[in-house]
Amino acid sequence: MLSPREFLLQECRNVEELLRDALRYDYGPTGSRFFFEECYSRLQAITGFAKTLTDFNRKEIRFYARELSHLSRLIAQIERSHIGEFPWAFGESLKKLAERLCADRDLDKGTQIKKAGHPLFFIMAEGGLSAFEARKDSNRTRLCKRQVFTIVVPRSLKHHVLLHAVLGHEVCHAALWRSKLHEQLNVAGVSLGKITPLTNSQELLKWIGKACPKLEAQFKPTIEDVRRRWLQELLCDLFGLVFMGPAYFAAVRTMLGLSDPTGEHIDPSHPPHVWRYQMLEYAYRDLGWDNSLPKSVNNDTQVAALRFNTALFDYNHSAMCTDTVIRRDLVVSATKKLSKLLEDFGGFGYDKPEAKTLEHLLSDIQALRPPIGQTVKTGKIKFLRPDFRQILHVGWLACHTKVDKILPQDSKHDAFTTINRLCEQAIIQERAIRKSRIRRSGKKKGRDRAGA
Amino acid sequence: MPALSRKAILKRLDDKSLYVGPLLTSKQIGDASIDLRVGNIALIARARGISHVDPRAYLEDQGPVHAYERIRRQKLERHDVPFGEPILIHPGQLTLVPTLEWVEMPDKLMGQVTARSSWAREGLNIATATLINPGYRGIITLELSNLGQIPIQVYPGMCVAQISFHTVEYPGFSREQASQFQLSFEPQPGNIADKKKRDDAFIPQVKRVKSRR
Ligand SMILES: [Zn+2]
Repeated sequence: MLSPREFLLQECRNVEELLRDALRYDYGPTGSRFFFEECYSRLQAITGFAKTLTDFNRKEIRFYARELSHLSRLIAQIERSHIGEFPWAFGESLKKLAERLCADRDLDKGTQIKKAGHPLFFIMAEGGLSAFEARKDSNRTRLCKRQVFTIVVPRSLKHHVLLHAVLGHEVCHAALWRSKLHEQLNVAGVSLGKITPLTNSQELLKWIGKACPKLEAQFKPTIEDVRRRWLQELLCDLFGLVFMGPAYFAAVRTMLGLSDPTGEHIDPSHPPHVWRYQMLEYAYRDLGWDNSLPKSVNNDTQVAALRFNTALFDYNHSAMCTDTVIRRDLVVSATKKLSKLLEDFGGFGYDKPEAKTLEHLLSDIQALRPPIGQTVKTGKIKFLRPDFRQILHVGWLACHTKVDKILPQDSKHDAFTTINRLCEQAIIQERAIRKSRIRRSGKKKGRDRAGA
Repeated sequence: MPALSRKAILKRLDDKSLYVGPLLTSKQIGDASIDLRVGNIALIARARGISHVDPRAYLEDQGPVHAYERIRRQKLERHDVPFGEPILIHPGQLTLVPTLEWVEMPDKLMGQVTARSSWAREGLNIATATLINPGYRGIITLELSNLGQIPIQVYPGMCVAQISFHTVEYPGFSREQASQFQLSFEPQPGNIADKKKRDDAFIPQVKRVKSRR
């Protein structure tokens, strides 16, 4: 039999072998080097400490065993981050933004501090529709040089980039794990804490007691946790919207609608969905995204935008007193602060395209081609250069047109998948366009914003 | 079958009666063709896949049945290859890749895809001169094969093929044909046993009754 210390050292060797073996897999487009180096440095630190222990250091042995276990879980997880299992071009664009957002920065100058300590993001697919999730890394700063956040997406939605817009929410969770960002985001969202049932745990308990008396006793012991969680979820929703654009709202409505069609379910982990919808609606309107498009835009685009908005706002506003609980002024205040914060970071907020751009991109999808806005005039080729979030926005608009009418017989029944795949293709093509432009001009031109 | 000149291609791209995109530079349009780039998927025969190609495996179209589906899925290994990552093609190896470009053919044109001569001289060939039918929409599947003696590495985004356009006499296809066109998003292993063309009449039946649901 091995003593605990012997087994710990044995497991260090096992994990090293696991790490080497993980290099057999393609885990993520940007390669495996940074991840390998981070894991290897953690492993070396753990092994180094473990070697100094004796069998009597029981507490320490337990501590390092736990860290090692976390590390091996991380490696095994990343090993499954196979890029054939999620939309990699979308993943790359999102990762790039998230890594820049969570990078350490000098806020006075608004610049990022370039250093090897930036967090790493990994995307992997798992079964189940509730798989959309961000997973936190170990907190042991002594062992970690860079934090590794894992973003999980449902395997079955490999091509459904429109639904992946919900990941805006998960990016916020990851940002909240960075201590500095955590503070700033919470300050921006402070007015959400003034929503009456969320001001303190007593108020929340009172509200639950009224909305669903039988749940009161069940929620009571952990009510303060529930209150904090609900607040954080609302903040992540608001962030998701400001960051990802209208596609976020549409994706949230679609995903949540399946698990809770009425939106009135009370759950300790998330506030009632109707609250979330109402908050998102106020923010959406405040951002001016519901404004009708100018007359110069063609009828199809105007009708699509109108139908899209109508669908977004179609829920029971008076359910669970939502219309009185969620106050417009509080939401608007938080939206403005959050938009400003993301703007100050270097243009991370969603940039609604010009109406004419929307029209052109939408007409691309209606012609069943990836929406990149290519025009060829007298031998000159131009692109509209949409950001991936704008592509998703247009994709959702297209869902409210009669695309299915022009689809081939075999795919008529599944216009949604076709639109998703066209958008996925557009995101890939847009990466190629950007790459060719960067190479030619030597560096990025005219793209100072964070758009990827 | 006259081919479209650069001028004619540009005119059609301009009035959108032909679509090939993204065209990353106007230099991609040649005197009578458009260069096509390698896309981001590679389908390569699997080392431990099936032993041989059997048309019988292609006959089943009644929904997933384990044996049939397994053969289809196991024959080729699928790799998603981001920009900057190489695709290695060994001598004699066949690799199916999509084009980066989305292509839309009007009723009056058909396309012919061939290797670019500079690559062909290195041994990289498009296995057959692919014909693109009028009305086609989607990526084009390139059958890359290395006829040289040493391995060749290609990167997604590189121009390896070209498409020329030819006019079709008496254009217009039947309603039934038109409805059969699927949008093509990925390289597809073709159907070598086409029931509509009565290939099945010449393929011995497989004993399959009991395993079906
Ligand atoms: Zn959440």
